[in-house]
Amino acid sequence: MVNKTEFIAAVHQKISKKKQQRINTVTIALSICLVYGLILFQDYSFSTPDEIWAAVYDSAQLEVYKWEYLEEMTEEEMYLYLIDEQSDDEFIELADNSNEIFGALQSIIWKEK
Amino acid sequence: MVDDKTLILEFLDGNVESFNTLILQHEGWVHDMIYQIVKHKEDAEDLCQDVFVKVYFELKRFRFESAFKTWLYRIVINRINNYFRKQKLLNWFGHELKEEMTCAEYNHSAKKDKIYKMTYQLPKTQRNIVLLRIYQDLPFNTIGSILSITENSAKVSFYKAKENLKEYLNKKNGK
Repeated sequence: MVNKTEFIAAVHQKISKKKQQRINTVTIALSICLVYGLILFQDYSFSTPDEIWAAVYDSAQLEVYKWEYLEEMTEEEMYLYLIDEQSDDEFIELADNSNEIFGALQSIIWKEK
Repeated sequence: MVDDKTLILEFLDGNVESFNTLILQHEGWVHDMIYQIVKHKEDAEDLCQDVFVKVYFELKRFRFESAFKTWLYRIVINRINNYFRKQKLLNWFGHELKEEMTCAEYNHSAKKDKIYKMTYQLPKTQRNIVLLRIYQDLPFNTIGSILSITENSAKVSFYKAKENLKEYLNKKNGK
């Protein structure tokens, strides 16, 4: 065996090399993640988390049958849909924030039965 | 001579000199064991260094549940097994297995060498027991603690290994 000091020096050299290898591996892995992230979101500029989610959903190409796609509803249909399908609280909240719904309510001619 | 536990604790506290002392205390037998099996000067040196590199990174996981030497034996055995796996792979791709022995060395250890080559046909546990028993002359209770098996299992596996080796030898001699 070569002299002991040389042996210890060789061991420490290998230790440093291995430490460097570990750092390189972590750096490469992080770089790959970063590049992948940039590629995934390159077309978008986000300011809120909601926009990020919207972008993720946009990227999923959804196909629907024609019968699944809802035609644009008339104002009256919209109102009836809201009455039937939504809870009172949701309806009031939606109506408060939507001029369209408010308009629809105004346009309906109420008749007494 | 400082005891292993003190050196390990000092090293874990950040004292690299203690690690160097630990190396100096064990590199002799580690190197001898590896060389006895590997029979290649440079590779034995290289493997011996690798063992202590592994020790450096794994020492924080050592729980003092066994003696440091027992733990070190496990690392040495794993390194040797990896080495032969790599050699086998190289051989598969057309490289010859390394042979580097003087004539005198060969005559002295020819018998052990012959047995060693056959041990590679044994299951892993049996092979490791043969390595530790024949090449290191270790008692069965120590072998048991190195390989995390009971002393009796070590004895039984060694007996089975001997039977298997006899069988291989008979096959080779055409009996």
